[in-house]
Amino acid sequence: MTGAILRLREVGKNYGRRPVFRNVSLSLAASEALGIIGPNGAGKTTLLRIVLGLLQPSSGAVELDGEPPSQMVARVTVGYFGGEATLPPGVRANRWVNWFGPDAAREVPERRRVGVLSRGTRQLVGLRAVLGLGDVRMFVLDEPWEGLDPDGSRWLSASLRKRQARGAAVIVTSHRLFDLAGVCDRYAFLARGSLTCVSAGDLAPDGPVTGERLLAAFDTFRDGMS
Amino acid sequence: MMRAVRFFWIASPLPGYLCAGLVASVVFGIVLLHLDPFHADSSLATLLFLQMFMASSGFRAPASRGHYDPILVSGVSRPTIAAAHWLDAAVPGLAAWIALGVAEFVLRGDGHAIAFQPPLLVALSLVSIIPWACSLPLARLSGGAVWTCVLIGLFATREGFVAAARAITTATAVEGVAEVLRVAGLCALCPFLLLGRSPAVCSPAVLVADVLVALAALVAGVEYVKRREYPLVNEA
Repeated sequence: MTGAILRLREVGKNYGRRPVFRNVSLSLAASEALGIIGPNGAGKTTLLRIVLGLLQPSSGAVELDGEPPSQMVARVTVGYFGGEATLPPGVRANRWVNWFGPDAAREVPERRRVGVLSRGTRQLVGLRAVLGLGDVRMFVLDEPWEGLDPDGSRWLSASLRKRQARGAAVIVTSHRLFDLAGVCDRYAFLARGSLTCVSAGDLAPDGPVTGERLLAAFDTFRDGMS
Repeated sequence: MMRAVRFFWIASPLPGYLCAGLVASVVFGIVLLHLDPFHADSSLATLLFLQMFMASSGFRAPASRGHYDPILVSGVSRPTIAAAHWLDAAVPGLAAWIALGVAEFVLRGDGHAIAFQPPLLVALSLVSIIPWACSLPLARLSGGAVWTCVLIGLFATREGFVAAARAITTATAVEGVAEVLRVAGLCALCPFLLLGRSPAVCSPAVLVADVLVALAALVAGVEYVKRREYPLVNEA
C-alpha cells in the first residue's frame, strides 16, 4: 500500500520466553480505521505499544512514515489513550486535559481529581483530551468504549468518524463489537499469536458491518486457529 | 523541553507532605538565620536531607501504569523527557536553597553567603541528582530512603568510615590522586561532609571529582529513561 502512515512487517513479540504473537504484518493509510479484536491476553495492548515505540518488537520491523516509531513519533503526531486506568489519580481533570491543548480544555470543565471520578467520567476525560488534539495524523486507542454510557459511546464513534474524515488514521482495539462495528474500514483478529485482517467489504458484502457479524467472525477466527 | 517539564509538573506533582516539609524548613531556616546569620549550616543541612527525598521522584512505577504515556508518545525525545523529569524533581529543592541563600546574603550584610560557596553547591548537586537516578527504577522517595539507610548503616557499624569522615573535616590538604579520589568518594557518599568546608573538601580536584560523579549519575539516569521499554504493569 502506498502512502501508508503505519507499516508492520512480520512483527513478533516475546515476554521472556513466552511468545505473545508472531509474524504480524499490516499497514494503515491516512483516513483509514483499523479495529483490532481478540480475546483477553491476545496481545492487543502490546501490539499498540509496539506501534507507538513504547515497546520494542522481538522480531520484525515497525515503520511510521518509513521510520522506526522512536524517531518518527515526533513527525507523525499521534494521539494515544490507553484507558482510564492510565490517568494519574492525583491530577485534577482540567489540568490534565489543559496540557493537551486549549481545544480539549474547553471540553472538560471538571476540576476534581481524576481518582475521585467515576470510571466512565475518567474514560471520557482521557478521550476528550486526546481527541481534542489538533493536527493528529494517527489515533491509537485501547478499549476506548469501556465504561462509557450510550451518550459517551455515540460521541466517541462520531468523533472517530469526524477525525477520520479529516484525514487521520485510526487504530483501535475493543471488546465492544457492537460499538466497533461500522467505525472501521478493516478489522484485524488477533488470537493465539496470529493476526488476520479482513476488510469491512469482505466481512459484510451485502451491507454494513454489524455487531452480530463481527461476533460471528470473531468466533470463526478464534475457533479456526485452535 | 518546557512541554515536558509542564507535563511532569501536572502528572507527577510533589506530594503535599513534602511541600509542607519544604516550606517549613525554609521558614525555620530563615528564622534561625535571623537569630544568627553566620551559622547557616544547620538550615542548609536540613534542606540537603530533604532534597534527597524530594529528588527521588521515581519513574518506572508511574510509567508502567501508563501515567507518562502522553509525553512518551508526544515526539519529545527521551533524553529531553529524562531531563524534564529531573528538573521537576529537583527544582523545588533548588528554589528553596536559593531562597535560603538570598536570606543568608541579606541578613549577613557582608556580601557573603555560604549557600553559594562551591562545596555546598557540589553537595546540593549530589543530593539533587544521585537520588533521582537511583529512584528511576523504584518508587518515589526510594533513592533518599536507601541513601539514608546506607549512611546510618555506615556510621553505626563501620568505625573506619567514621574515622575517615572525621579526618576529612580536620585535614588541611589532599595530596595525590588516590587521596583526592578517596576524599571525593567519601563526600559523594556523604555530601554532608562538604558542609564542613575544610581545606580538604574545598580542594578543586575533590570538587571536580564530585561534580563528575553527579554528572555520571545524570547520564546513567538519562540512559535508563532512553533505553527502557514501557509495558503496562499487567501486560508483561
